[in-house]
Amino acid sequence: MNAIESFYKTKSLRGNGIFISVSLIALSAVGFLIPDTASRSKSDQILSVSGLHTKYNDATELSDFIQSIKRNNGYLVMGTSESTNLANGNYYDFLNENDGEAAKFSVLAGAGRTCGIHIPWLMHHRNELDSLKLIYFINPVYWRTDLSEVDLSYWQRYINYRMSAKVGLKTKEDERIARPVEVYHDELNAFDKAVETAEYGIRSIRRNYFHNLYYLLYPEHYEEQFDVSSPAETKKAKKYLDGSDKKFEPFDFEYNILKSFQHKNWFKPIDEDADFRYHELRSFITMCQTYGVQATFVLGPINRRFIEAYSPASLPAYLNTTSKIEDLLNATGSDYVNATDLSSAQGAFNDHQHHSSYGAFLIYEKLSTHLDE
Amino acid sequence: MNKKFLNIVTKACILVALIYLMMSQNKADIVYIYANF
Repeated sequence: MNAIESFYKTKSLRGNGIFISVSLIALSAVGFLIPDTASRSKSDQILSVSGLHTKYNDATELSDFIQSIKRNNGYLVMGTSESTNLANGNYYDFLNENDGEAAKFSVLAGAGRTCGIHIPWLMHHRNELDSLKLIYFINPVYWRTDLSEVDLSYWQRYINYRMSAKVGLKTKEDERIARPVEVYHDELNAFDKAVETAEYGIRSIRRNYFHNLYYLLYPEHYEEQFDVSSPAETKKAKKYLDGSDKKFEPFDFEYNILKSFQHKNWFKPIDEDADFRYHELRSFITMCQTYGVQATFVLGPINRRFIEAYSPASLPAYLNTTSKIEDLLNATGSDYVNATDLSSAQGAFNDHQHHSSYGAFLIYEKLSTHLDE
Repeated sequence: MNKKFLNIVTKACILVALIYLMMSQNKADIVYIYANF
């Protein structure tokens, strides 16, 4: 008891504080001596990676991800919220379940995860991009008033400023490709930049331990972080495809949405004056063409029947924007699938701007035919 | 003697805890991907 009492004196606590500080500095320095030995022993295709890896450009994991797709002659599917999980499967689930389709489809999707957000991490790996097959889903709703410019909440969710600032721009072409990312950088204030730089630095120091040391001690755990087997949605997609599991939710035929969707007021008109999204798409296309990515774009449908019923005056701008996106794809000689003819398809949407599993099935049919050609 | 021993044990525990924290693969800061806006 006496020993404990005498130990917890201010002097001892001060000594421990100094010890922690010195240890942290010493551990940070020693960490750089720990080699990165992580490597995959399996050759199967990685179907997705954590958003953290793309946010901080975790080089080992991302290289393995890209190489696994190329080695298996698969595709990398990218998209925004419409390309996230759907209860009965999304278009890539159907593609993965299609027996005639030998290739596998890996996915990186999320709300607001537009093509420009992928530019920094892809540019870090530009020497590995040659012959990578990629599908990017263009959702025209990102041209609407509140999404037509850089939305910091999305960009900061997916990109660390320091990681994107570290992309070396060696040519004029690289500078052109990185222009939308520069717009994002300009939106950040000095405090945001300082915080994200500190975050990146601390994580880089920690990575020597949570990655290098951890996988040095437990190499078998490296494989476990990768998603290589089909998710539950893909299995449901199989049932959907063979017709054994078709459940229909109450549907609002006037608005072409599920009756359970109660937020019609979330609809926003298109901002025809904003041109950031065109620049973003053009930069992404330039990157694909410069670094040998075999990109196929899907020009997604808009919920035309919803717009006609809820805000008919907004329809011309939606149609005009869709047409301008198509013009851009044509002008750049891009390979694309036009799915805008599904805009009026009954049952193809869950809400004002996200396709349903049925809509996904229709998109899958178009995409599958196109890829087979 | 006890005090010195306790001091060494404390410092060893601190060091182990620091390495453990550095190695932790914290899932809390994973980028959550939301299905809706």
